[in-house]
Amino acid sequence: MNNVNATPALQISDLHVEIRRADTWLPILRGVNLSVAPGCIHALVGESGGGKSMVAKAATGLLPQAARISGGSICIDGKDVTQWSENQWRTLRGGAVSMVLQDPMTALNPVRRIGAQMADVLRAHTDGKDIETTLVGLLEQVQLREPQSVLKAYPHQLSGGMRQRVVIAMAWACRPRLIICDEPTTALDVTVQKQVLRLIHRLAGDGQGVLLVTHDLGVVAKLCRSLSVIHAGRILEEGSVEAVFAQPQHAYTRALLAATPRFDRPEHTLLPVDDDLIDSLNAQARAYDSERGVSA
Amino acid sequence: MPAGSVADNCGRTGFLLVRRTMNPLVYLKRVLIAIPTLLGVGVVVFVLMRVVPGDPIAMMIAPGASPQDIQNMRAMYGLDKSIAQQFVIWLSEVLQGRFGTSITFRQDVLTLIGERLPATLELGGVAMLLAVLLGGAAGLWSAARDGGWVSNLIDALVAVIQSIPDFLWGLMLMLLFGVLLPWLPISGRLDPGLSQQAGTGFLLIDSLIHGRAELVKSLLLYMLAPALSLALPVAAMLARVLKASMQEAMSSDYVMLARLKGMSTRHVLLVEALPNAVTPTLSLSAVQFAFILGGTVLIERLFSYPGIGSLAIDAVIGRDLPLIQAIVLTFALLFIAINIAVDVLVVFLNPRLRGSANT
Amino acid sequence: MADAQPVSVCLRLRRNPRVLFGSFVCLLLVLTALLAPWLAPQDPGQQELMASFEKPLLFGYAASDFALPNYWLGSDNLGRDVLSRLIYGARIAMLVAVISATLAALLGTLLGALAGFYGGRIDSLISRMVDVWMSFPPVLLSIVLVSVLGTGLWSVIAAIVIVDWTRFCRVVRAETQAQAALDYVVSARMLGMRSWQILWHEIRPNVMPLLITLFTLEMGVAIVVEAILSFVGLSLSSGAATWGGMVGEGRLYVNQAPWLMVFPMLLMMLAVLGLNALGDGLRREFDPVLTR
Repeated sequence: MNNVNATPALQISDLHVEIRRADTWLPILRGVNLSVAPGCIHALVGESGGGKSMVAKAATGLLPQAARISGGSICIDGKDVTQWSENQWRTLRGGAVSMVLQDPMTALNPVRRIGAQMADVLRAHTDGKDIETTLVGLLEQVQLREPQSVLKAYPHQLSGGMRQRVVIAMAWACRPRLIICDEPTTALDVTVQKQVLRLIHRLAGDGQGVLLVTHDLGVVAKLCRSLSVIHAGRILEEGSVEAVFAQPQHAYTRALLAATPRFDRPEHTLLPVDDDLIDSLNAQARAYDSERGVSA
Repeated sequence: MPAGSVADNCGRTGFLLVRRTMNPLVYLKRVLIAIPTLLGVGVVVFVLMRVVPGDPIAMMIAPGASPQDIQNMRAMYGLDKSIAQQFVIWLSEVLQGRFGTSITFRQDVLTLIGERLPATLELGGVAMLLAVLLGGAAGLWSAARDGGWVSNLIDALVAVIQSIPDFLWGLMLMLLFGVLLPWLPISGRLDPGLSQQAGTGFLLIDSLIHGRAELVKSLLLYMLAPALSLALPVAAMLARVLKASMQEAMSSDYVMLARLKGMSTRHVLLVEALPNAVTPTLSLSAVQFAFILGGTVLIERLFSYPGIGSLAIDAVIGRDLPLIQAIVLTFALLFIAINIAVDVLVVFLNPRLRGSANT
Repeated sequence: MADAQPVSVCLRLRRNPRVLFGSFVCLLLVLTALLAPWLAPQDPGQQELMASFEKPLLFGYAASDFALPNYWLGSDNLGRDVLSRLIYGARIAMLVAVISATLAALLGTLLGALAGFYGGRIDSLISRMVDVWMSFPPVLLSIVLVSVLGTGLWSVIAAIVIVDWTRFCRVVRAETQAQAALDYVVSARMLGMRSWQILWHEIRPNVMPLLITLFTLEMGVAIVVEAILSFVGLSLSSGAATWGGMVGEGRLYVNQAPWLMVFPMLLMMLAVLGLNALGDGLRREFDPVLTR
């Protein structure tokens, strides 16, 4: 299952991304290194605005119009996609790389039936035979009962948990090499979160690489084998979950862990991440920029 | 078989089924509410026209008629009674389907309107179709090329076109095709040389059904200038609304997900975004149809197109009371019917509203 | 949006091209209307039967007789100077536009605010009235009204106001309803403020920007309706110079003297475009959420 020597599903090397803001280019990602091995669930952890979503977008070729890759490379399943055009990306998306979005309420088209929306990706990337059977099979895999009725239904007729399962099923449909989950449980009820996480864990045993973008360390602990910690577009620490959680090397990682509520330790107090720490991290980021000769 | 542990509650088991039927009671209620509105319209028109200075009888009486003749005429048209009495009589007549006799045309009003209404409806229909096609195309094109110079150009044109009311468009087109480029006829409904299809008066539909090509062509040519005048401002508004709705749809999560599935831009625009953008636009179009019908009053007169609109102005000037009342009631009825149809359309198009007991 | 400083608002408006264009046109029209007696080269009613159908000098045509005064935009069938008539026509257009828009705004806003704020039976009554009103084709209604009220400036104004007040009413009602449901109004009520105080002090500032836009729109509508009525022959007495009247008369001679119809039409279009641009630009400024 976890073949360390196999080609990584995702390999990001020294990635630099800038965004255009009123005549200047602001650095968003500063030399990001990340790799996701096949069969492995790798977490990308950090605060909002730390660059997690940008990494996810870069890995799917959906960087905003105003952004550009100014250095480094992205390889998906061994293919260098850094300079790929939209047409080339389109062959990859859905088939080799897919994404699970955060909010299941808005991720599905309200005026199309579930079956139609799911069939899209199959028609685009497979030979299009036996679509209905495949779809029913997919829905059963994500543990949706009455799959026939679900296929005929409209999104507003399903609950949030059911919708997220549909989105996950769509992402898994063509057995892509890389699946990116962007905060897949944040918009769900706590009880539903647990089920969805279990589902992701189960499905990931199939040889795909999963990049889990999240700010919730609890999720990371339950689900992931390895993680990277990102702040201000720089990877501060990475390693296996056990190692990092037991012995966090970077002050920021320690602070994040300390900020996570621990209900098993009643005497544990919640500590917010220290402002000074953040300031010093931002200063380091700016120093990095000036070293590279980039004006901020 | 689905694995899943017993504790794995995959959501509600019996979720709502789609109910294809819409609740008919709601529409009955709307129709019932419409009746007092119609009545209100009738009262207003009735009172207004009775207050108008100017005696219709005096206008049409031959010089040298004796006071007795005038008195007889008055009685014939029921103008010698009090306003309240006249209203009651008129109402009871109307409910029996009798709308009286036109003073200026000396014909039964209902027949007169029946002869002319199809022409106006056809004109309105063609204008609406033009508006939807032109406006839809412009809005879609502008949305597809959003941010580029094409889009900006279309937006600017649309803004200008929308600002110019149908009356001015009518004058411009009349000037254009009447004087500068005599490509289109600017008067009448049909080439006088062609023989008409006897029947319902819906000449366009009749000739289409019977496959009379020259007739269809002639009808459409004569309709083009007036229909365009009516259509252009509405088309511009539809273009704007469609573009805005498309922009909103294109920035949604489900469009991003569609892209993530590897769907082409064409698919995203037409299959994902457009069905969502179309609903507000379509219900707006239906409302605009009412305005188009209202605009026929002036445009028909301008182009001498023989519909009920062209009757209206002359009827007012000639104080032709029975005719005016019938015309106004006809328009009011049409407006109300359109509004109800719009509501039905909105519910039909939006899967979320079907099967709900609320309006 | 609270009461922004007028100066900063004006500076911001200066960058908006629509507002610039619209204001320019508006200013031009207002100045023309005010300064008509000094601007017009000739008396608009002066008939010069020897000089009928003079071609416009502005377009390089030579005058038929050098003894005649300069007809920059030509003369009509009675030898009246088109330019002067256009200038005086602007007067009437502006007068009608401003007065009708103001009165329509007052009436519509009042009823709309009452309907939106109090709801209930007042709202039902007013809404029903609006429904009945909007079941009439507007052109027809205005023609009927002018027949009732007779010709003349005030009849035209009254007709426009009576036909189009619903435009203001609907919008103000919706906006007032929305505002009245907001917390600040609820708390104002609880503090014991009287309804009219709330309406005037709290709700009015929020509805104002919308009103300004509608006002400019209404002015455009008024100009067009006046033109339609003149065209049909129902506006002022045929001696007076109105744009619509000029178009109506010009239509009769469109083959020999197309300029008689074209110039008033162009001016009308300019006025309407300018007013609409102004209204649109103002609306964009005050409501940045709207993409339209």
